[in-house]
Amino acid sequence: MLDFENLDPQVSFFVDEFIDSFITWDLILFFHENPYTVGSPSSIAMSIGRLDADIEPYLDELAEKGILSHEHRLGDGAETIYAYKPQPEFEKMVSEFKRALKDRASRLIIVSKVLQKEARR
Amino acid sequence: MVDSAVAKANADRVPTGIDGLDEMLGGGLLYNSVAVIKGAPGTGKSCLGMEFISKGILDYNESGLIITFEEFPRQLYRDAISIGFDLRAYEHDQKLRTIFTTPAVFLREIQQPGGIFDRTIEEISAKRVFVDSMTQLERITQDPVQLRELMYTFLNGLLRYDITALVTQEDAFITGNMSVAEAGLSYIVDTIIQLRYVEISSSMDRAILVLKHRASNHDKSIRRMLITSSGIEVKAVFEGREGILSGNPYVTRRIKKAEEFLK
Repeated sequence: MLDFENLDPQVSFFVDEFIDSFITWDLILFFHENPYTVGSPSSIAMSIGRLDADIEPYLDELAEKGILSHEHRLGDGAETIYAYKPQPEFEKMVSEFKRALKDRASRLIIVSKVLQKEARR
Repeated sequence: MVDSAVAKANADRVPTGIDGLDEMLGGGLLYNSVAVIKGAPGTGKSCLGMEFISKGILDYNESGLIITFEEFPRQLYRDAISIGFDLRAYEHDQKLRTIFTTPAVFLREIQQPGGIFDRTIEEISAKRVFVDSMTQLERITQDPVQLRELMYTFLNGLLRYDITALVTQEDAFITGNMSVAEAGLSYIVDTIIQLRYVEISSSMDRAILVLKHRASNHDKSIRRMLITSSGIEVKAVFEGREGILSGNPYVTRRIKKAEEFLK
Protein backbone atom coordinates (compact mmCIF):
# COMPACT_ATOMS: atom_id res chain seq x y z
CA MET A 1 0.00 0.00 0.00
CA LEU A 2 1.41 3.40 -0.99
CA ASP A 3 1.61 6.03 1.68
CA PHE A 4 1.20 9.34 -0.14
CA GLU A 5 2.36 11.15 3.00
CA ASN A 6 5.86 9.79 2.41
CA LEU A 7 6.36 11.94 -0.66
CA ASP A 8 8.31 15.16 -0.10
CA PRO A 9 5.63 17.90 0.28
CA GLN A 10 7.40 20.15 -2.23
CA VAL A 11 7.49 17.36 -4.82
CA SER A 12 3.89 16.47 -4.04
CA PHE A 13 2.89 20.11 -4.61
CA PHE A 14 4.82 20.21 -7.88
CA VAL A 15 3.16 17.05 -9.18
CA ASP A 16 -0.29 18.31 -8.15
CA GLU A 17 0.25 21.66 -9.80
CA PHE A 18 2.17 20.82 -12.95
CA ILE A 19 2.33 17.13 -13.85
CA ASP A 20 -1.11 16.51 -15.35
CA SER A 21 -0.06 13.63 -17.58
CA PHE A 22 2.88 11.48 -18.61
CA ILE A 23 3.33 13.67 -21.66
CA THR A 24 3.62 16.79 -19.46
CA TRP A 25 6.13 14.83 -17.36
CA ASP A 26 8.20 14.04 -20.47
CA LEU A 27 8.00 17.60 -21.75
CA ILE A 28 9.02 19.24 -18.49
CA LEU A 29 12.00 16.92 -18.03
CA PHE A 30 13.01 17.31 -21.67
CA PHE A 31 13.02 21.12 -21.49
CA HIS A 32 14.74 21.08 -18.11
CA GLU A 33 17.58 18.91 -19.48
CA ASN A 34 17.78 20.76 -22.81
CA PRO A 35 16.81 24.27 -21.68
CA TYR A 36 17.47 26.22 -24.88
CA THR A 37 15.43 24.02 -27.15
CA VAL A 38 13.50 25.89 -29.80
CA GLY A 39 11.02 23.64 -31.53
CA SER A 40 7.78 23.07 -33.35
CA PRO A 41 5.33 20.44 -32.07
CA SER A 42 6.68 17.94 -34.60
CA SER A 43 10.35 18.48 -33.72
CA ILE A 44 9.65 18.33 -29.98
CA ALA A 45 7.51 15.21 -30.46
CA MET A 46 10.40 13.59 -32.32
CA SER A 47 12.79 14.47 -29.50
CA ILE A 48 10.68 12.79 -26.83
CA GLY A 49 9.44 9.89 -28.97
CA ARG A 50 5.76 10.90 -29.07
CA LEU A 51 3.23 11.90 -31.72
CA ASP A 52 2.97 15.64 -32.46
CA ALA A 53 -0.84 15.60 -32.38
CA ASP A 54 -0.64 14.07 -28.90
CA ILE A 55 1.75 16.60 -27.44
CA GLU A 56 0.32 19.82 -28.92
CA PRO A 57 -2.43 20.38 -26.29
CA TYR A 58 0.10 19.81 -23.52
CA LEU A 59 2.56 22.27 -25.05
CA ASP A 60 -0.22 24.86 -25.10
CA GLU A 61 -1.09 24.12 -21.47
CA LEU A 62 2.53 24.66 -20.45
CA ALA A 63 2.60 27.88 -22.45
CA GLU A 64 -0.58 29.08 -20.69
CA LYS A 65 1.08 28.39 -17.34
CA GLY A 66 4.08 30.50 -18.44
CA ILE A 67 6.53 27.60 -18.43
CA LEU A 68 7.00 27.71 -22.19
CA SER A 69 6.92 30.70 -24.51
CA HIS A 70 5.15 30.31 -27.82
CA GLU A 71 5.40 32.34 -30.98
CA HIS A 72 3.26 31.85 -34.06
CA ARG A 73 5.02 31.86 -37.39
CA LEU A 74 2.83 32.64 -40.40
CA GLY A 75 3.33 31.93 -44.09
CA ASP A 76 4.19 28.63 -45.74
CA GLY A 77 4.00 25.79 -43.25
CA ALA A 78 2.70 28.10 -40.49
CA GLU A 79 3.41 26.70 -37.05
CA THR A 80 3.97 27.58 -33.44
CA ILE A 81 7.50 27.62 -32.04
CA TYR A 82 7.97 26.77 -28.37
CA ALA A 83 10.87 27.56 -26.04
CA TYR A 84 11.47 27.09 -22.31
CA LYS A 85 10.92 30.15 -20.08
CA PRO A 86 10.79 28.87 -16.50
CA GLN A 87 11.14 30.91 -13.33
CA PRO A 88 14.13 29.91 -11.14
CA GLU A 89 11.71 28.55 -8.47
CA PHE A 90 10.16 26.28 -11.07
CA GLU A 91 13.60 25.00 -12.10
CA LYS A 92 14.33 24.22 -8.45
CA MET A 93 11.10 22.24 -8.20
CA VAL A 94 11.96 20.26 -11.35
CA SER A 95 15.35 19.40 -9.87
CA GLU A 96 13.64 18.12 -6.70
CA PHE A 97 11.16 16.19 -8.85
CA LYS A 98 14.04 14.56 -10.76
CA ARG A 99 15.73 13.64 -7.50
CA ALA A 100 12.52 12.09 -6.17
CA LEU A 101 12.17 9.97 -9.30
CA LYS A 102 15.40 8.19 -8.43
CA ASP A 103 13.85 6.89 -5.23
CA ARG A 104 11.64 3.87 -6.00
CA ALA A 105 9.01 4.54 -3.33
CA SER A 106 8.67 8.21 -4.31
CA ARG A 107 8.52 7.30 -7.97
CA LEU A 108 5.67 4.85 -7.37
CA ILE A 109 3.68 7.51 -5.52
CA ILE A 110 4.28 10.02 -8.34
CA VAL A 111 3.28 7.50 -11.01
CA SER A 112 0.17 6.65 -9.04
CA LYS A 113 -0.78 10.35 -8.72
CA VAL A 114 -0.33 10.92 -12.45
CA LEU A 115 -2.34 7.80 -13.30
CA GLN A 116 -5.20 9.15 -11.20
CA LYS A 117 -5.03 12.45 -13.06
CA GLU A 118 -4.89 10.70 -16.44
CA ALA A 119 -8.01 8.70 -15.49
CA ARG A 120 -9.86 11.92 -14.67
CA ARG A 121 -8.98 13.67 -17.96
CA MET B 1 53.79 42.44 -46.83
CA VAL B 2 54.54 45.64 -44.94
CA ASP B 3 54.32 45.62 -41.12
CA SER B 4 51.00 47.48 -40.91
CA ALA B 5 49.41 45.07 -43.38
CA VAL B 6 50.66 42.08 -41.35
CA ALA B 7 49.31 43.65 -38.16
CA LYS B 8 45.90 44.21 -39.79
CA ALA B 9 45.78 40.63 -41.11
CA ASN B 10 46.51 39.31 -37.59
CA ALA B 11 43.90 41.60 -36.06
CA ASP B 12 41.32 40.09 -38.42
CA ARG B 13 42.00 36.60 -37.06
CA VAL B 14 39.89 34.79 -34.51
CA PRO B 15 42.11 32.29 -32.67
CA THR B 16 40.41 28.95 -32.08
CA GLY B 17 42.48 28.63 -28.90
CA ILE B 18 43.47 25.10 -29.95
CA ASP B 19 47.22 24.67 -29.75
CA GLY B 20 48.68 23.70 -33.08
CA LEU B 21 45.52 24.44 -35.06
CA ASP B 22 45.97 28.21 -34.84
CA GLU B 23 49.53 27.71 -36.04
CA MET B 24 48.20 25.73 -39.02
CA LEU B 25 45.68 28.50 -39.71
CA GLY B 26 48.27 31.27 -39.61
CA GLY B 27 46.81 32.71 -36.40
CA GLY B 28 43.21 31.59 -36.48
CA LEU B 29 39.97 31.71 -38.44
CA LEU B 30 39.12 34.74 -40.52
CA TYR B 31 36.97 37.24 -38.62
CA ASN B 32 33.25 37.17 -39.56
CA SER B 33 33.69 34.10 -41.72
CA VAL B 34 32.35 30.55 -41.77
CA ALA B 35 34.67 27.56 -41.49
CA VAL B 36 33.59 23.96 -41.99
CA ILE B 37 35.02 20.95 -40.16
CA LYS B 38 34.56 17.80 -42.23
CA GLY B 39 35.04 14.27 -41.05
CA ALA B 40 33.57 10.84 -40.49
CA PRO B 41 31.58 10.13 -37.32
CA GLY B 42 33.82 10.09 -34.26
CA THR B 43 36.74 11.96 -35.81
CA GLY B 44 36.31 14.83 -33.32
CA LYS B 45 34.25 17.45 -35.19
CA SER B 46 31.98 18.23 -32.24
CA CYS B 47 34.88 18.24 -29.79
CA LEU B 48 36.72 20.75 -31.95
CA GLY B 49 33.63 22.94 -32.19
CA MET B 50 32.94 22.81 -28.45
CA GLU B 51 36.55 23.72 -27.71
CA PHE B 52 36.38 26.66 -30.15
CA ILE B 53 33.38 27.98 -28.21
CA SER B 54 34.82 27.18 -24.75
CA LYS B 55 38.22 28.74 -25.46
CA GLY B 56 36.43 31.82 -26.77
CA ILE B 57 34.68 32.17 -23.42
CA LEU B 58 37.65 31.23 -21.22
CA ASP B 59 40.60 32.80 -23.04
CA TYR B 60 39.13 35.63 -25.11
CA ASN B 61 36.02 36.67 -23.14
CA GLU B 62 33.85 36.04 -26.22
CA SER B 63 30.39 34.61 -25.64
CA GLY B 64 29.29 31.70 -27.76
CA LEU B 65 26.27 30.04 -29.24
CA ILE B 66 25.99 26.35 -30.08
CA ILE B 67 23.24 25.24 -32.44
CA THR B 68 22.75 21.50 -32.35
CA PHE B 69 20.52 19.62 -34.77
CA GLU B 70 21.64 16.13 -33.82
CA GLU B 71 22.80 15.65 -30.28
CA PHE B 72 20.71 16.72 -27.32
CA PRO B 73 22.36 19.49 -25.29
CA ARG B 74 22.53 17.16 -22.29
CA GLN B 75 24.75 14.85 -24.40
CA LEU B 76 26.95 17.77 -25.44
CA TYR B 77 27.27 18.89 -21.80
CA ARG B 78 28.44 15.37 -20.93
CA ASP B 79 30.85 15.12 -23.88
CA ALA B 80 32.29 18.57 -23.18
CA ILE B 81 33.00 17.62 -19.55
CA SER B 82 35.02 14.64 -20.81
CA ILE B 83 37.37 17.01 -22.66
CA GLY B 84 37.58 19.50 -19.81
CA PHE B 85 34.86 22.08 -20.54
CA ASP B 86 31.78 22.80 -18.43
CA LEU B 87 29.19 24.14 -20.87
CA ARG B 88 26.48 24.28 -18.17
CA ALA B 89 28.65 26.60 -16.09
CA TYR B 90 29.17 28.91 -19.08
CA GLU B 91 25.41 28.93 -19.66
CA HIS B 92 24.87 29.77 -16.01
CA ASP B 93 27.27 32.71 -16.42
CA GLN B 94 25.29 33.93 -19.47
CA LYS B 95 28.30 33.30 -21.72
CA LEU B 96 26.75 30.49 -23.72
CA ARG B 97 23.47 29.20 -25.12
CA THR B 98 23.13 25.68 -26.49
CA ILE B 99 20.11 25.79 -28.76
CA PHE B 100 18.59 22.46 -29.74
CA THR B 101 16.35 22.75 -32.77
CA THR B 102 15.70 21.43 -36.26
CA PRO B 103 17.19 22.84 -39.46
CA ALA B 104 13.71 23.87 -40.68
CA VAL B 105 12.88 25.79 -37.48
CA PHE B 106 16.33 27.36 -37.35
CA LEU B 107 16.23 28.45 -41.00
CA ARG B 108 12.86 30.06 -40.43
CA GLU B 109 14.06 31.81 -37.25
CA ILE B 110 17.23 33.12 -38.86
CA GLN B 111 15.14 34.70 -41.63
CA GLN B 112 12.61 36.13 -39.17
CA PRO B 113 13.40 39.74 -38.16
CA GLY B 114 13.57 39.79 -34.36
CA GLY B 115 13.32 36.01 -34.30
CA ILE B 116 14.65 33.77 -31.54
CA PHE B 117 18.12 33.62 -33.11
CA ASP B 118 18.38 37.44 -33.40
CA ARG B 119 17.36 37.82 -29.77
CA THR B 120 19.72 35.14 -28.45
CA ILE B 121 22.74 36.64 -30.23
CA GLU B 122 21.90 40.04 -28.74
CA GLU B 123 21.10 38.71 -25.25
CA ILE B 124 24.54 37.22 -24.71
CA SER B 125 26.49 39.31 -27.26
CA ALA B 126 27.70 36.13 -28.94
CA LYS B 127 30.87 36.42 -30.99
CA ARG B 128 31.34 32.74 -31.84
CA VAL B 129 28.81 30.30 -33.24
CA PHE B 130 29.13 26.54 -33.66
CA VAL B 131 26.57 24.66 -35.78
CA ASP B 132 26.43 20.86 -35.57
CA SER B 133 25.73 19.77 -38.29
CA MET B 134 25.08 21.16 -41.77
CA THR B 135 24.49 17.60 -42.98
CA GLN B 136 21.10 17.81 -41.25
CA LEU B 137 19.94 20.41 -43.80
CA GLU B 138 19.41 17.42 -46.06
CA ARG B 139 16.34 16.74 -43.91
CA ILE B 140 14.70 19.75 -45.60
CA THR B 141 15.46 18.80 -49.17
CA GLN B 142 17.44 16.25 -51.17
CA ASP B 143 17.43 18.43 -54.28
CA PRO B 144 21.08 19.55 -54.76
CA VAL B 145 20.23 22.97 -56.20
CA GLN B 146 17.71 23.75 -53.47
CA LEU B 147 20.10 22.40 -50.83
CA ARG B 148 22.84 24.70 -52.04
CA GLU B 149 20.47 27.67 -51.89
CA LEU B 150 19.47 26.70 -48.35
CA MET B 151 23.10 26.44 -47.26
CA TYR B 152 23.83 29.82 -48.82
CA THR B 153 20.86 31.44 -47.05
CA PHE B 154 21.78 29.72 -43.80
CA LEU B 155 25.43 30.83 -43.83
CA ASN B 156 24.68 34.36 -45.02
CA GLY B 157 22.05 34.59 -42.28
CA LEU B 158 24.76 33.74 -39.74
CA LEU B 159 27.17 36.29 -41.18
CA ARG B 160 24.67 39.14 -40.76
CA TYR B 161 25.88 39.21 -37.18
CA ASP B 162 29.26 40.26 -35.81
CA ILE B 163 30.31 36.64 -35.34
CA THR B 164 32.72 33.98 -36.57
CA ALA B 165 31.18 30.57 -37.20
CA LEU B 166 32.33 26.99 -37.29
CA VAL B 167 30.01 24.40 -38.82
CA THR B 168 30.39 20.65 -39.22
CA GLN B 169 29.68 18.38 -42.15
CA GLU B 170 29.76 14.62 -42.01
CA ASP B 171 31.83 12.51 -44.41
CA ALA B 172 30.17 9.31 -45.53
CA PHE B 173 33.36 7.26 -45.50
CA ILE B 174 35.36 6.27 -42.43
CA THR B 175 38.62 6.02 -44.42
CA GLY B 176 39.57 6.06 -48.09
CA ASN B 177 37.26 8.07 -50.37
CA MET B 178 37.34 11.78 -49.78
CA SER B 179 35.19 14.43 -51.42
CA VAL B 180 35.04 18.20 -51.20
CA ALA B 181 32.28 19.54 -48.97
CA GLU B 182 28.91 18.50 -50.36
CA ALA B 183 26.15 20.73 -51.77
CA GLY B 184 28.65 23.39 -52.76
CA LEU B 185 29.55 24.16 -49.14
CA SER B 186 33.26 24.21 -50.04
CA TYR B 187 32.71 27.19 -52.34
CA ILE B 188 30.66 29.14 -49.81
CA VAL B 189 32.89 28.77 -46.75
CA ASP B 190 36.25 30.46 -46.24
CA THR B 191 37.99 27.63 -44.45
CA ILE B 192 37.82 23.84 -44.70
CA ILE B 193 39.33 21.74 -41.93
CA GLN B 194 39.43 18.02 -42.72
CA LEU B 195 39.58 15.37 -40.00
CA ARG B 196 40.47 11.79 -40.95
CA TYR B 197 40.92 8.40 -39.40
CA VAL B 198 44.32 6.91 -40.17
CA GLU B 199 45.22 3.27 -39.64
CA ILE B 200 48.74 2.91 -38.26
CA SER B 201 50.16 -0.33 -36.90
CA SER B 202 46.71 -1.89 -36.42
CA SER B 203 45.23 1.03 -34.52
CA MET B 204 43.20 4.10 -35.49
CA ASP B 205 44.79 7.52 -35.22
CA ARG B 206 43.25 10.87 -36.10
CA ALA B 207 44.67 13.30 -38.64
CA ILE B 208 43.89 16.99 -39.24
CA LEU B 209 44.49 19.02 -42.38
CA VAL B 210 43.56 22.55 -43.43
CA LEU B 211 42.31 22.01 -46.98
CA LYS B 212 41.35 25.60 -47.68
CA HIS B 213 41.90 28.91 -45.91
CA ARG B 214 40.91 31.78 -48.15
CA ALA B 215 43.47 34.54 -48.69
CA SER B 216 45.90 32.89 -46.31
CA ASN B 217 49.18 31.08 -46.54
CA HIS B 218 48.22 28.23 -44.24
CA ASP B 219 50.09 25.09 -43.18
CA LYS B 220 49.41 22.33 -45.72
CA SER B 221 50.82 19.48 -43.66
CA ILE B 222 48.77 16.59 -42.32
CA ARG B 223 49.15 16.44 -38.58
CA ARG B 224 48.25 13.97 -35.86
CA MET B 225 45.32 15.04 -33.67
CA LEU B 226 44.63 13.79 -30.14
CA ILE B 227 41.46 14.19 -28.09
CA THR B 228 42.49 14.34 -24.43
CA SER B 229 40.76 15.01 -21.10
CA SER B 230 41.95 18.61 -21.39
CA GLY B 231 40.93 19.20 -24.99
CA ILE B 232 42.31 18.75 -28.46
CA GLU B 233 46.03 18.58 -29.14
CA VAL B 234 47.36 19.04 -32.65
CA LYS B 235 50.71 17.31 -32.87
CA ALA B 236 53.47 17.13 -35.46
CA VAL B 237 53.19 15.72 -38.98
CA PHE B 238 53.08 11.95 -39.56
CA GLU B 239 56.84 11.59 -40.01
CA GLY B 240 58.01 8.89 -42.43
CA ARG B 241 54.50 7.99 -43.67
CA GLU B 242 52.82 8.66 -46.96
CA GLY B 243 49.29 8.14 -48.20
CA ILE B 244 47.81 9.43 -44.92
CA LEU B 245 44.58 10.61 -46.56
CA SER B 246 43.95 7.16 -48.02
CA GLY B 247 43.48 6.01 -44.42
CA ASN B 248 46.11 3.30 -44.94
CA PRO B 249 49.46 5.07 -44.95
CA TYR B 250 52.68 3.30 -45.83
CA VAL B 251 56.20 3.73 -44.55
CA THR B 252 58.27 5.86 -46.92
CA ARG B 253 61.15 4.25 -48.85
CA ARG B 254 63.70 6.28 -46.85
CA ILE B 255 62.39 4.95 -43.52
CA LYS B 256 62.12 1.41 -44.97
CA LYS B 257 65.77 1.52 -46.06
CA ALA B 258 66.81 2.77 -42.63
CA GLU B 259 64.86 -0.03 -40.95
CA GLU B 260 66.47 -2.63 -43.26
CA PHE B 261 69.91 -1.17 -42.53
CA LEU B 262 69.33 -1.54 -38.80
CA LYS B 263 68.22 -5.20 -39.06
